Amino acid sequence: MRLTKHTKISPVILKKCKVHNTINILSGRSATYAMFSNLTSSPHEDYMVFSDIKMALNEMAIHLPYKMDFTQIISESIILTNEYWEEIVQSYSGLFEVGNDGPPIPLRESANPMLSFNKEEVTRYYEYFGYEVAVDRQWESDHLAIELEFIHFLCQGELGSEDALSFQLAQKDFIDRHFILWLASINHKIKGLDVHPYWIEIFSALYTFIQKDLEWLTTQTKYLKETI
Amino acid sequence: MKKYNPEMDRIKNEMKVDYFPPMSRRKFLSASGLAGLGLMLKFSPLKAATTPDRPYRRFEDVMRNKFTWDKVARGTHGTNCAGNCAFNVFVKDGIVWREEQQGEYESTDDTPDYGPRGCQKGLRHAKYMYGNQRILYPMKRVGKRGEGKWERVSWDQALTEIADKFIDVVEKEGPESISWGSGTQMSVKMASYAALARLVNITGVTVPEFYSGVGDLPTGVYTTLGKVYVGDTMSAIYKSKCVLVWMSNPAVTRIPDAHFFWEAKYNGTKVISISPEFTPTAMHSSLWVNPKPGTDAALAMGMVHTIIDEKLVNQEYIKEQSDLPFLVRMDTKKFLRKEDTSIVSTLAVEDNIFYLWDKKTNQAVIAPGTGLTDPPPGRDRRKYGTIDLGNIDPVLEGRWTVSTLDGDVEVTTVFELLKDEAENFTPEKASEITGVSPEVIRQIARDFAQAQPAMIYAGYAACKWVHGDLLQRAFVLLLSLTGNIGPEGSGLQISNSPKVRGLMAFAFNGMGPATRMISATNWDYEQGNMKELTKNVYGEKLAEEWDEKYQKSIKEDWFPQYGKKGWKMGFFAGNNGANWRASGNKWRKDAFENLESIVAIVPDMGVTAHYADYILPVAHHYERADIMLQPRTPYVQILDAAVPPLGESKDDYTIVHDFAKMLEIRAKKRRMKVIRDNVDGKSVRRDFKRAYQQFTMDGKVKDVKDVIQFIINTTPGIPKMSFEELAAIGKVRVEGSNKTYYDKDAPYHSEIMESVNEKRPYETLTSRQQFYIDHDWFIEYGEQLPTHKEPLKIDGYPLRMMMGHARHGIHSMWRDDPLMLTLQRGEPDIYVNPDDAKIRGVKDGDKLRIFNSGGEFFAMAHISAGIQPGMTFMYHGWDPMMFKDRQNFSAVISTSGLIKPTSMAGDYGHLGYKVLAYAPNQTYKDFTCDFEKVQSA
Repeated sequence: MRLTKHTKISPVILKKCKVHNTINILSGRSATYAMFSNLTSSPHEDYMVFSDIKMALNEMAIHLPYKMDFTQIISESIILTNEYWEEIVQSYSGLFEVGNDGPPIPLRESANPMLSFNKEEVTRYYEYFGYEVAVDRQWESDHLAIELEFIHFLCQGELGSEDALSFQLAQKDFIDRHFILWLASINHKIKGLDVHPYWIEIFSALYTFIQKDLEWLTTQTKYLKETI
Repeated sequence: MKKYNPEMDRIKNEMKVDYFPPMSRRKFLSASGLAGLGLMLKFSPLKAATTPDRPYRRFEDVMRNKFTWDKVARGTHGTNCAGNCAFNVFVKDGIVWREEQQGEYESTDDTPDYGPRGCQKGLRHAKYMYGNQRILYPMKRVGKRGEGKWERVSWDQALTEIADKFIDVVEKEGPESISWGSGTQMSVKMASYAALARLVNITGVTVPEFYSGVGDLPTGVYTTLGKVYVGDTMSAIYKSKCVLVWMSNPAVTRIPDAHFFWEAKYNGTKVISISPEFTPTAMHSSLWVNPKPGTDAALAMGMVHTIIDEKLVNQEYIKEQSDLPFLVRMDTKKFLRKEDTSIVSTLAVEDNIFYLWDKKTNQAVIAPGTGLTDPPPGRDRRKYGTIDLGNIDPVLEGRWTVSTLDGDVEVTTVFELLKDEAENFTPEKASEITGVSPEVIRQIARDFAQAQPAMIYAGYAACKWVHGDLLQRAFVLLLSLTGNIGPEGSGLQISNSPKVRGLMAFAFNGMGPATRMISATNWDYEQGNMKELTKNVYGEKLAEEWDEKYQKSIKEDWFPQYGKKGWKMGFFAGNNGANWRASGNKWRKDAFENLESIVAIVPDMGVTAHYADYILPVAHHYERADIMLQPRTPYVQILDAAVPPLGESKDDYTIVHDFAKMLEIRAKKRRMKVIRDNVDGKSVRRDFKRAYQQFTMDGKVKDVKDVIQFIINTTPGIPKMSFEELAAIGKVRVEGSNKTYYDKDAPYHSEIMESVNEKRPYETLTSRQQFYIDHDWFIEYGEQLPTHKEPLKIDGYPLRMMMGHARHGIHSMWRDDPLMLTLQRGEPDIYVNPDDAKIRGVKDGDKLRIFNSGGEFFAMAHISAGIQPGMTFMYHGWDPMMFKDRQNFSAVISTSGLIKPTSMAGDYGHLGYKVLAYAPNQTYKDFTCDFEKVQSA
């Protein structure tokens, strides 16, 4: 079964889902978080070849329980990474890493003072679920890419756990508390800047994905709570 | 224990879950396409996800272990608040979550203890250090200078390019065309400063010295006492019976120590706050006295008049300790010297042998302890004599005739001349100048003179007036007349400075001193053509006259001159140099922005970095190791790295180290020739191909902890222990600090105590506390004695603007912290008097344009009855980045060229250029301005 954008995930449908379908959904969501984690991390650190991911993106989209369209990202990415790599690296730095008053769009959650953010909460989530950030990355453990990877990690944890509800509730809460407002703010800000459309595409797609995933998780956890 | 679940195993097998090791982005994405299902972690070393020990149901569940930590490090804030507050720094998963005051301090004698120490800024740092203002990567300018466009570059690229430019300038213009300005952020951290001092000594670049450069050098104190660093521990306040808190606001600027004032007050001490504006300190004091801005010296002289008039002078003290009984010729206004009275050998130096009038023999006699010559290097001059009067009973008042080589001349005492000068400042006359009632002047003079002991607690504000030296000389005079230099609980409390022998030993080890250090005031005057600024703002006559004296001082070699070929490259480390220049836009436009290369080495973004070509990120307070000494508290404080430096930032030592290494690499690659340099007449051979080898002492110094250990081992007064031992406890009491003052074993011991208690000569021309300076320039300007001179103003602008250190920042650090801003008004504000506001139609909260002929800036009106009419007040430290057009209050401060001639005097005993002792301050107060409401569009 494939869920579309307009599909309402009813408890009945979920109840009828076979394990295989649940796993496909999980794997699709997991991989999508992993993908966005990579797309939002610094290109200074390793090389990105987007032509490789066309198939992966399509595969992820198929497995997601709601409709997502990554076509635009794919087409932008292929052109840019093949021909304008330096521009991508520089534009990433100029947007997210360096700037006169700090980067215009800081990707560390704590660098956004208007979010009323509790940085410690992020680390306590990590600690609770056993997610460890590499020592040289701990200072930026609230970086968007790392937080997205954490959701990927939770998806994988859910896959191997008998307590799916814990993982799903954690995903839902974390997304709600840390991504929704922040990504809305990023999307708003980035559209007001003179930036390469590629970054607008990425964050627009990410924000759409996050909203849909939260909606899906909300329904899913409600159902699971009822069935326990 | 988890239950075995065959269903999950089946699922895992079915999905062929691969737990990939961390992989490159390319591999990840390919893998996603092929498998798409595995745990692929880029930011974590984990190989598998696990199930939590407890079920998760709501977000509060994760916070149940909130108060658990991986470690608690010892640390402090290596900034120039002089607090040196011991903190515990709590770390979890490589993040600093919070800090707490360490609080385990001892008391001294029967005084209150020092702990806990800290303020809201320090307690906010765990959040601030992760703020958006942090610079995390080396950055290279890609747009126009100041445009704000940056590119992240690698350390290797940045250092290579900077080293090449460095060598280019050195080969073309010589090393003195490069400045390496350090600041208080650097200097308070001894190991960092030692490393920089070593690098500049190796390379020969010019160091514009910031102490006088920011107007903090107490030259008036040096002029009088021959020492610039005076001051005891803060607990000395408790021992005082009357404290004049003068031009200082410790309730705001000395938050960890202000309790000593209030505890003393409850113990019976009279705490008198003297400031034009009503400060938080004044609020808690026994009495607040508010002279008009810039008239403090008139107030002091009014007090001097009362003390003399009402015979409250401690005559025995001043006869022995001061030059007040010394004889002065009435014809020349010069001291009577031995060379006046007899033909001297051409080899003898007898212009420093002075006379007293002895009551017993009724004749002029040589003052004991005068006529000292310079001892051999390394020997203490003061051990060659004594100021003990023996059988002499000097007369303080009278006029006599003595025979000289010029014939009979009339002589009198300095004290008599002082009485004449004080007549110009009777309380009534002083009242007309200061606005303070004559009776209040008399009363505080009596309170001060009759309290034993009494002290003057002053910050650096006096140094920031053109004639602030006169005020400081008056401070010391008040203390001396009442016998209040020496006894516990007395004295002038500004700030001491440690004798960090180890720091200099590290800097010069194996090489000897070959450093070019000059006051930033002089550097700016020449490189920014500040004579032109003075001419434009204060008129040609003043500019020409003072410049003539300046040039004469240089010509006579009283003061050095560097950078004759111009300023080409500037390094700014540990300071925000483009923030505090007192020259409106002139320094920035005519000097700073014209540099070929600017390198800012800073932890946070600010205006200096804004204009830089390269920004090198520095580790913040909890990310580095260092050692600190601050005289206010008798403790050595350690900084230990609680967490690694954020991003790619590095501590100052490592940056200097890496630069030395790159300099050597590039010099070798370019086959750079040895430079034959000359510093102040000393030949120096500089070989940059050995820069790194020299810097590391042939590899012996490996990291900053080696430097710290070097300093511990070689600095007297620091208990000998390893860095690790010190890091474990955080702080340790310095030796020689059993009393509220420092004794000989302490790193801050003041030789003035020996002068008072052991009658050792002072390091002044007269070997005494010297209130009379008979240098030609002092006589020409009528400044032989402490006196009051009207501060300068800008014609047509009626309001004085006063400034002071802020509660919510240490200079520009933490000034932009979001929480701190919410505790204020969220943006820069200027305090104005209600009547001044009303005249101009201004309401509280209005946007103001503050202006004079020098420039303009914008700030919010903060109407306060605590501000006198005719003045405004602004807390300093607001970075220009926080203002419209990136222009802060320095737009209206045009005082950088006001170098008063007497501050460049030389060839006179102790007067003449002396690093960190006698140099002209950059001043910030002698101007006026006006304000108006900005009409909204």
